[in-house]
Amino acid sequence: MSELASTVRASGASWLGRVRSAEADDVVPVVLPFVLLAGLIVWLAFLLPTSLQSGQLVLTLDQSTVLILLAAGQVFVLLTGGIDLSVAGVLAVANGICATHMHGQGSAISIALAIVLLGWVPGAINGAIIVFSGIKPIIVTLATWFIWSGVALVILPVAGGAIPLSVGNLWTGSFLGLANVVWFALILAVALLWIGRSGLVLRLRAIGSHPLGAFHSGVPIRRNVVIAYALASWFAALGGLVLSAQSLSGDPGVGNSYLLPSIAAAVIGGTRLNGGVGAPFGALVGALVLGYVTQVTLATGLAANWSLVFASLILVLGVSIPALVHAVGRRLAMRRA
Amino acid sequence: MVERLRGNAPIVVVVATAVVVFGLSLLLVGGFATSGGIRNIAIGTLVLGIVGAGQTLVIIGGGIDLSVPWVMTGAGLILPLVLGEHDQGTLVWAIPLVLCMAALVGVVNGLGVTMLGAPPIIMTLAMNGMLSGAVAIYVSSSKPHEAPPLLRDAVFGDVAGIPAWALMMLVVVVAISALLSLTTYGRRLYAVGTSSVVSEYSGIRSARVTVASYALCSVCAGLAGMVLLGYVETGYFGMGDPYQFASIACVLVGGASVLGGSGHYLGTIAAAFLLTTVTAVLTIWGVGAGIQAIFYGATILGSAWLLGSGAFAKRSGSLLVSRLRKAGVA
Repeated sequence: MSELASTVRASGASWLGRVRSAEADDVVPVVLPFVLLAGLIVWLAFLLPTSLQSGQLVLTLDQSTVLILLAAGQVFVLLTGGIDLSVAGVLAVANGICATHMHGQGSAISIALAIVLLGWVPGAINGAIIVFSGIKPIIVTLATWFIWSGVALVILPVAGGAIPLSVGNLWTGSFLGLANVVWFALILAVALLWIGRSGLVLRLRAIGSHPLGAFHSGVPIRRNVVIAYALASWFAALGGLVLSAQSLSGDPGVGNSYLLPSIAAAVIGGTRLNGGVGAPFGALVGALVLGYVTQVTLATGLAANWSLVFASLILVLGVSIPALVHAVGRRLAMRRA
Repeated sequence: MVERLRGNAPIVVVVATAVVVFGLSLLLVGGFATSGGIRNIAIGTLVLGIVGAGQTLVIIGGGIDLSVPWVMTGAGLILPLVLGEHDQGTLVWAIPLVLCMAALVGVVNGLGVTMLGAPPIIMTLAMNGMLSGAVAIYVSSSKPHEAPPLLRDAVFGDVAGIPAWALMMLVVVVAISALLSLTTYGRRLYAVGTSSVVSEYSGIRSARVTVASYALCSVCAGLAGMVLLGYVETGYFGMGDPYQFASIACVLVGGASVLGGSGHYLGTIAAAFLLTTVTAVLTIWGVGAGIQAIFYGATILGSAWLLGSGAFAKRSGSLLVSRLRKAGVA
């Protein structure tokens, strides 16, 4: 019950107030990603002064956008205490549809519209299976990950396909002197901040931290869990659309390389894996942290493969540090009492 | 006795299904019943069965191991490197050396789960990422990837007229089944998987049991990687990738609960046989990799549904909250 109370307290009021009123185990995950990101940016600036030029910043943002979208979607599911492995498959399906069906201006627009309008469907199916069958989320989404990866292979058996250059130009272009990538990131950031303060995220936190408490407080559990999975898949589909505009081609296996980072970015961004704690905006910071880890690795002259090693290490530390802090804090509190 | 039978009902069903599907395939599918085809299914079942053995131990203990693909790939790529230009006889110490490296990976997985408190999915997924990076750094493309001839003989050869794969399968099935059913470690593993808190209060050092299960799983994956190397003859990056899903699929189809504390290796090996047979039939029918993946997904979902809420489960009321808690939504 105290967990629920602290969650409700932590998510109310202003962001600053939240930091002030939060307990030690709430502060660390909120502050850590910002410190990590700032440290990495400064480190990279020392190694590579050009990294602070606007062109480089836009490039970093560009390379992180797909991951930001996937990780933000993952947060909604993680908040409920679940996990969504199928986002990798949904991303690949969206990418495959773009690569095979976008032939010109008209078809590109209608395909993009269709993905934006229907991207939530695979997730809603996941959510419905989970709440009505009682099978664990990891099993359901493992199965639907297989299934959507298979669908992606049926749509586009080998990497290839062609996406009209005009779609790519829309992504690389600029508006009012600011790159479209930046506009997209700004809109996304505002949207994530807004949704992070909405009743939906509050309800998801309540479900994740204490389902019975949430149930007795009148939170419609089934509906909200389905919405969380639907959002995860919608963000993944949007990620597939952005990826298509970036790469101008399709690859049925592309999703799998984003799965681990999508969970890692969410966790680094302060979302707890067993549910109840976290915010969608944190995923944006977490994804940027991972992007900068890659850049710092390359700038120090190490092989690109090392960045995978470091990202994995950060993920494990990101998961275990809040848990360790929580355990130590509890032990101290017990000693005091 | 009745209780015992009820607990094993899924295993009986899987074994029966595997035998029936294999029999029907022999009779009805053209091009299936060739000696080469049967041998491929046997060796495929062997590789999947060895990875599945480790995965069974970890899942019974309440965990999951997603790092098996790169332990397999690592073992398959590093063994030829360790051997280098040396004599074939060096395999005698090269194989144990690679298995020790694999065991080390498993110990790190287990310590991450027990000491750092990292969730098993995350710990092992991260380990998989680290290994894929580390192996790619260590194994450059210029070095030899060919399987040593002795290893090829060990997979394809025979001892006194009995094919080597049959002997290996027999050893693995007997060893893992005995470990689960006849040893104290097996009993402790089921106890820890059922509830690590209760087992801790009952005097079991649950952390040690868990670490050992991850170490054994990685050793199995390393062994499977080497058998796979002997089978495909040339190691390549990502050779273990299909086994990430397949190993979990065969444990779950074999009747184990992903929540831990239940299941048996006999179910896993039957499911490995079933999945390998069905994959072979689908390939003969010219069904592409995409449809096969969809089939795998549907199989997992179907068996999870059957085991979780269908024919085999005791119906203990359908309270919303108990359902949700079981679903882990809770």
